[in-house]
Amino acid sequence: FRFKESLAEDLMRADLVISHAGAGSCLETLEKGKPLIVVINEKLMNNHQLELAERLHKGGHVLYCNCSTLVETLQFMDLSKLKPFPPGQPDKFALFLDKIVGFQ
Amino acid sequence: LLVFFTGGHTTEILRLLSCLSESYSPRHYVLADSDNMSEAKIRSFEQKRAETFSNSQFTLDRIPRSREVRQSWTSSVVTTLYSILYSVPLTYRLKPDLILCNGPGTCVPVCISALLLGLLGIKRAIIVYVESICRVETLSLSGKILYYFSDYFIVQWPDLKEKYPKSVYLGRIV
Repeated sequence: FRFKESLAEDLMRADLVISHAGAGSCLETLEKGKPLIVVINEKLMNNHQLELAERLHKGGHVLYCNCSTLVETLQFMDLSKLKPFPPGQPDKFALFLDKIVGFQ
Repeated sequence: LLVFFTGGHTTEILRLLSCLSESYSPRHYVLADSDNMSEAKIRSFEQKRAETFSNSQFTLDRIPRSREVRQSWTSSVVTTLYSILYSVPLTYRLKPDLILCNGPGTCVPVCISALLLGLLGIKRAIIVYVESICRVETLSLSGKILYYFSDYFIVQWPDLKEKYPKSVYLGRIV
């Protein structure tokens, strides 16, 4: 499919997600608690995508590979080792803004 | 009166806005003229908001994009200057109290316009910049510029807080 408004439904039904390193894709998947394999395309390498993917990998939240190692990763993956990455709390931001603007 | 900037990280900024009280009203969104997907996301966000808060108000404006991805330096300077020229009247018209931005190049010209208005004694806006969650160890170009010109510079990873001591780290907010 081309551009769906939201992949939320599909995400809920998935057992495993394989995705590029876009922040939106990664965060949405992790929030729903789905195991995620991030595939880096070195040719299209986008600096800011890489930083986040690497950090998520270092933290043990996602599996990480490139196009050529994807099959191998799928063969040897151990999804139980993945650690959850809980969603952030935008209310902390709201509280901060309230403080600096003077709404108490 | 608030001004928000969107672009590549619209979802992030909408999440940041999700817990704001109705005191942050009316909301003025400023988008790059080439951005199509953000408008739909914003309208959907505001529609949901209107279901809870009856007096919800927002506006949407577009300005020329200051720089395309991987645009050369020399042409970037020209396009940025053009964007600044465009954003000065917009910022003057909106006279925001608070400006919230999270990274796209669109925010730099408007923040510069706001600083100008402040210097001229017309309107002093509080500029809050939130660096995207994608930025773990390095700042975006907008971030590097606005680190010096914003009132509050928020980062989302502790590594950046260490490198940029004047920044604010609130933990995970999106």
